[in-house]
Amino acid sequence: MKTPLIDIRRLTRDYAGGGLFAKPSLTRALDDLTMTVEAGTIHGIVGESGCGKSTLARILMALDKPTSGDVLFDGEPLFQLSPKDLMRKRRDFQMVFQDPFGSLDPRQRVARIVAEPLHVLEVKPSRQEKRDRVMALLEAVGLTAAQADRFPHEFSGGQRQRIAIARALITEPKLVVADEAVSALDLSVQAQVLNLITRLKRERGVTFLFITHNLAVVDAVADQVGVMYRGRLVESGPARAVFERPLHPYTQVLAEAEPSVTKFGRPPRAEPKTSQPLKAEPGQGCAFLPRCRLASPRCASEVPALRSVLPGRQAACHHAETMLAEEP
Amino acid sequence: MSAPDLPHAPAARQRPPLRPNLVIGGAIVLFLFSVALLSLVWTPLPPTKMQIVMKLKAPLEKGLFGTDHLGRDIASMLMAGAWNSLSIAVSAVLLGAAAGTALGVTAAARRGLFEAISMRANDVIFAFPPVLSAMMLGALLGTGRGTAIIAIAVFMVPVFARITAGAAAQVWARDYVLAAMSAGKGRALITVEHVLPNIANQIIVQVAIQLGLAILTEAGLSFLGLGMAPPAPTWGRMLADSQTYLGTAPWLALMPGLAIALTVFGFNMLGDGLRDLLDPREKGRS
Amino acid sequence: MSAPLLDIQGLNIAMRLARGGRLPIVNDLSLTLQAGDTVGIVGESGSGKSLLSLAVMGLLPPAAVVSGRILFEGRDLLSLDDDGMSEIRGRRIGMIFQEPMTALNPAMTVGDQIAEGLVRHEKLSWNAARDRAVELLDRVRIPDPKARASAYPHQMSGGQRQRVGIAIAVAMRPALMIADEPTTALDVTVQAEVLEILDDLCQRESMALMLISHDLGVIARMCARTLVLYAGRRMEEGATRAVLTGPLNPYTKGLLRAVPRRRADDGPLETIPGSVPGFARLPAGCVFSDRCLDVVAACQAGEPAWTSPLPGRGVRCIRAGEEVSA
Repeated sequence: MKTPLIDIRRLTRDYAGGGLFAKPSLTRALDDLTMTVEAGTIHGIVGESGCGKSTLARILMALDKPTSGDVLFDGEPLFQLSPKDLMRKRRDFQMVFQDPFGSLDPRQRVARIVAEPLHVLEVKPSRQEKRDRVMALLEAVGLTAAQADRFPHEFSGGQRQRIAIARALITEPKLVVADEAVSALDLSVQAQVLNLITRLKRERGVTFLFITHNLAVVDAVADQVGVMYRGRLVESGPARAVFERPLHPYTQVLAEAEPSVTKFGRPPRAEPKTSQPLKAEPGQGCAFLPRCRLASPRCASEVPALRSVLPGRQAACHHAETMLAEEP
Repeated sequence: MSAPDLPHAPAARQRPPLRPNLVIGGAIVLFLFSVALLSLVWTPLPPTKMQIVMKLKAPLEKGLFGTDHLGRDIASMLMAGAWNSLSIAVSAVLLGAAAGTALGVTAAARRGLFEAISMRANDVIFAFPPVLSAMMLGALLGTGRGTAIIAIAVFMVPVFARITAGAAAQVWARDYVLAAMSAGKGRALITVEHVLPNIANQIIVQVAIQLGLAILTEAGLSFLGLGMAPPAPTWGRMLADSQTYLGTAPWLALMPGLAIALTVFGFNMLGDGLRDLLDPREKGRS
Repeated sequence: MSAPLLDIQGLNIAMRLARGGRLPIVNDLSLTLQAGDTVGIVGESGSGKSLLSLAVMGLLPPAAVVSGRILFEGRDLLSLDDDGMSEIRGRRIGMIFQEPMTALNPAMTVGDQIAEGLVRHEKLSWNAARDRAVELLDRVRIPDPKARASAYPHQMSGGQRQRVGIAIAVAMRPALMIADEPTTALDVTVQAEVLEILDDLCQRESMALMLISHDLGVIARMCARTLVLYAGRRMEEGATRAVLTGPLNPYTKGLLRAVPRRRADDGPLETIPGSVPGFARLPAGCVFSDRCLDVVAACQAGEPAWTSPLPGRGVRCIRAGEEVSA
């Protein structure tokens, strides 16, 4: 079996909160996260704010260090590399950010912005070579070479996101982490950028980690998907299968909450929860318990581990089999 | 979003209309600098030449602005004073801005202990009025141009450090800085390539505004005899000398007073105008 | 039939440019709301949808030049002075913003912020108003409303702040609620709750709702009628279900096709080519003609008129007739 491009092993990241006057606190942004991303795929990560998906992105970009655990990138442990080796490794992973207005330096011309990641190369390309690569990439993302000397404010949101994608691709990385990369775009432009990402995967073999809160977007482009809740991976599997047949109640809640152009009016009210809401002690039991329709006493005492439920499908729920048995 | 959703598309780049602040402020400042430079090569009379017989003449009776108690030509003294005041103010502000900006951007880049210590040190310096620093420095080095420059510059450092640290911290929070970090760039390089160009406008605006303050401070120092040594004419000492004759020769106080007021006003107008012109908030979301 | 609650007739909004001249933004916009109506205004950035809501609230920037009529409960809002407008704003027309943090006062407890309007407009005592504020917080389903009333905005989550925003807006029992992208900044599950609260309020108080959103799904969930805007023009109007299942205007069709969804054949997603043009550089004739897949030569000849090819439907497209007969 070939090694996955990214092998995330028991990744945990705590943030110390509090301060001089507030009492110190510890927030666990990532909790024992294990997952793999295969090369040449679009891997979606879905979750709501505070689920740890942005922390995951920062750690994968080596902009932040995990509290424990490691990330194997192409088989090499990212956080045990020497600074020099890490620098060399950086050409293999790049990032596209959410806000197309905040991710490009307003004082720099497009050519300079796009060329910035070339800084990581040991052998710096010549000026002409740099320029050629920038031009080729601008054309690859649907812009024109003539636009290279303009400033970011002269572009629309969709065009800026194309510039950001060109910048992420200039070192010919193996992985591009896209953190809510189309969320800020207009609908008519969103699909263009999604198509660009799919095309880059197909034509250049780039792997994308596509982080978003929008299930429809993930469903449209992703091969694999992971669903995160409170720093844990609660479900993973092929995107199509996960959305057709969720095995975790949270995935189902997300899918049902998402508005759609085919759902008119008020959705049928969810069945009332059990009269006695179950509560888990902090650090014990399932984090989703208070919102779960399938909650049982076992969920309050035992943290559900991520386990294989079907071939290629994993879920961290004691009741995944119940979900499976239910009529879709 | 409450702002009208005008397209960010690249309409033909708008030429900013002429702003009255900028034009008036710029004109005053330009005029003052021309006069100051002119005084180096020409004044109506030598500004230090005394003619006791001609003392306390009213404006136009002798010279444009009259004469002082020693019969010196006030117009000539004002011109020479402009050079002394402006040269001290400009040197002090540039010195303070350079040191303060270096401190501020370093604090923003390093965060942590360095930031805490340098910013508290700033507060301590800021608590010393420039008059006090000038007295202490004067005792150490003797009064003169250099002492005045250093005393004012020291006072400017915390001002610029604080402004640049705040502005730089905002830049550090932007995603393009993250992008630069993921390109493996270090904090010093990011400061030079991304932070400084993006806060340059705020620094320029602040320089203009602080120049006004520096002029005022310089006048205060020389009023107290802590500025340049006599007989070099300064606006502050002209004011100080005029006190005795306030009843009989009010123009002695009026002329340097107006010069100081005009200069401060000019720099403030220029600062406001530059702020309107350069403030990134005016250019949408850049 | 009674007079409509809100009757916008031939509204035009232009912006005065700093370099002189005027840039027309909103053109020939008409819209009628009866009491209790829910209308969704759909548009992308640069569609003029936010200017429309600001115009109804009397909050247009000083550089805006308006013509037309906005009749609300029989009074022309455009001819009211500031005092008259602020009498209506808040009392008869409520507003919910996208980012409630910017609309809330950070230095005042949320309970007092809700109570403030009641004290000022309804002349309640502070004590009575605070009690009402707790009731309102309960209505927008804030748990433990009594305790939360004394919290400050920064102590609340985004979803809770938006609920406070709604509580402030409904405190005066407005006849019309304008919600400008009220859930765009919220997570989907929180969005679903906030939409449900809003829906409840509309039904219980028979409050009219003008919901501005770029999200067709949110409009489908909330609004009986839909108005589609593009480049400051209304492109299509009708019952939401009819518009979203049988669009007549190619722009609406394009928007619906561009909604991301899994393709059975793994082919590319359908898109609308190009991007929203700037108001300064609109194409001749139909404003959508440069991106339209069904464009014919006649489209560029002149701006298509607003027509009503089907009962209850309005559309701006010269080819809508073919669509209807097909």
